[in-house]
Amino acid sequence: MFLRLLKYDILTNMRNAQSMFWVLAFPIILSTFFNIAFSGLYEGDLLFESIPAAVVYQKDNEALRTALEAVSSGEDALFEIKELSSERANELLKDGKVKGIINVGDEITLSVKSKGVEESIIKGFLDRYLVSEKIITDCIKTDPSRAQDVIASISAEVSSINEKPMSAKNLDPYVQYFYNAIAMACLYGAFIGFSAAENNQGSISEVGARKCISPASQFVSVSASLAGSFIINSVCALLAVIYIKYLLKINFGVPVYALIGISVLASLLGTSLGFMIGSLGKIKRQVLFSVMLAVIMLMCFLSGLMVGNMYGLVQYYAPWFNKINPAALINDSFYTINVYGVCGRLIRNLGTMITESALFIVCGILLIRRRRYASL
Amino acid sequence: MPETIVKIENLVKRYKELIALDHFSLEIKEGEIFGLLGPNGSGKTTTINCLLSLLSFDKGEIEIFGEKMSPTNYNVKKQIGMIMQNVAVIDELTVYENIDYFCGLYINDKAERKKCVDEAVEFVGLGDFVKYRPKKLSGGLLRRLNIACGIAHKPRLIILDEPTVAVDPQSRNKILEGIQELNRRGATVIYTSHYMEEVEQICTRIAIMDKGRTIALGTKEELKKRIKNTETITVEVMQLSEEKLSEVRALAHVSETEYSEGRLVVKYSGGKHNLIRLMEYLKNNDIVIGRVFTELPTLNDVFLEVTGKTLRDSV
Repeated sequence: MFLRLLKYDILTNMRNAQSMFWVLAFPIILSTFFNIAFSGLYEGDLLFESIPAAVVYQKDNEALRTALEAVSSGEDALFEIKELSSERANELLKDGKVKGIINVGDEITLSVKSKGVEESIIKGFLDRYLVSEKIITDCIKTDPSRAQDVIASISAEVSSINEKPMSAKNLDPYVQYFYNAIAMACLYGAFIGFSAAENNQGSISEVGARKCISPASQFVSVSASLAGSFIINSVCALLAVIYIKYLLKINFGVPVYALIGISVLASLLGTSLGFMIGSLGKIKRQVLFSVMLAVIMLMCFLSGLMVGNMYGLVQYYAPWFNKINPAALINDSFYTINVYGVCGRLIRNLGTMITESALFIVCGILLIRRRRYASL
Repeated sequence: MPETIVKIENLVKRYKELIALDHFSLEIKEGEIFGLLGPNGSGKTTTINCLLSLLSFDKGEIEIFGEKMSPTNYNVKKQIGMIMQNVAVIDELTVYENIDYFCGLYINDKAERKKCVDEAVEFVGLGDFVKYRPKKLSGGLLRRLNIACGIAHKPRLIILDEPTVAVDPQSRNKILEGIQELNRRGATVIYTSHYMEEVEQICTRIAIMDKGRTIALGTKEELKKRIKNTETITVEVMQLSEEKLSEVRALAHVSETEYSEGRLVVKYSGGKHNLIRLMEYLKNNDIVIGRVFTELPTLNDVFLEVTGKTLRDSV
């Protein structure tokens, strides 16, 4: 009986235009828009333009000059450096023609007009330079015989960072939007899970009543509905992934097996969330539906679907929320495996997703297991 | 003596302050088409839902096929078919798939199920529509699909809860004929409705419900015997004096007369050939008449007699 019910539940979900729109069509449309929007940014080379900066030498510093020349040359130059007088540099900074002024005197300082990504990159470079310089200087003072080793060690560290193979990774910040699109596709599986709960409650739907008065075990019926919903949700999420990865040619920076694994787990989370909400009982269907949609949209918003740095803001003000927000967990799982590979953070995310799914399913079953209703 | 297959004793169901079923008792014998008649809110659907263990109840006992009914009494549930007031089908499945799906909740064997589904399709006359989805069907066809989903597994007891609501007269007749055919094939039927004509047409025994209680129970003949008025004759009369009206009132078995706006209404309590006697009187007194109507008592009259209000008023 389970397999027959499963077959019909899959058919029912496949033919439900509303569910299919939310779990398949909407993420595809959204990711297509993302692709159109962000590919324009890439084509304009806005991301990789060299950062204009001025250097004012009040005191000569050969080591810094050499370092700046190194990062300002070639096709992938990080900076476009101009050696200027203090007055001229200030004029250009005021006009916004340079993003920062590196003042080289007894101390090396940085003047910026505003705080932004480009200013942060100049600061990051200078910080790193100063740390390396201090390490080498201190070493020469304390044990000159080891200076050569220390310099070699720093060079090797820089070299290993630069040369680390990046083929399977994508550090482009815009890939986060596609992670979120997948997260949303999976969480919209809640609509299918919602129907699974609805169709098994005699107090909510006529079909549920038919099932309740039949001799079929409610456990078998609910299990088949849940399994059917989960399968359809997973397949739709994977189709969305295939569309984004192979048709839009977006590099997720995540191995295929991990993409599949995380998407399937995320689908389970979405389905079970909808199942639990659908089990809440005799609240008006439209109210429950609207609440569910709003909750999912809020979760996706807070994980950065609409505003890229939202995840970071939540992490700053309420880090606990990122640890339980299903959308953030899915998004962060993709991000973590992309940037760090398999690590404790990824395992913790996946563990939380499994726990939440189990919790939602158990709550749903406990809510609908009543076999006689007080009212219909 | 036919076996009692449904036994309800002292059933009480409250919705907060409202008493939906007030010590309601009932026995239904095998082979009957039993009608539960009553206005909306009289407790018919609540009775059915309690019977099916969908609803909890405060007091009382329900036995079906001699066994106490409970949500997990699968042996009893297997033998019951339910046709609900609202159409209970899955919009995304075709006609055939819907019947197969619901029949599959009762019958596991594939070959047996196929046979049952095919028979159900034929029985409700949906052979040309098996690949249609419910949304493509008219209201009447949809009702027939609803019936097919409830009876495909060949239940011993079929419960129909107002199956003809919002159905055109042609489909309604088909449905009523179908119910009688199911009964001829051996099924016991419980039929709830607030349409007295339907109940009168098909039911062998009737319980009239009001405010959660049985106010009358018996065959339609037995129920009609309970009322004073056995026949009503209406005659279009151009002119009738008070004197003549008094003479009509004095005719044998006349219980009540009324004359207004050219219509003479004469009500009788028993007696035979009342119409002939009235016509003879009118002819002998040179009273010019127009059209003549006669009405036999209906279940509405029974309801009126017992409750003081009409079924139609209550609906």
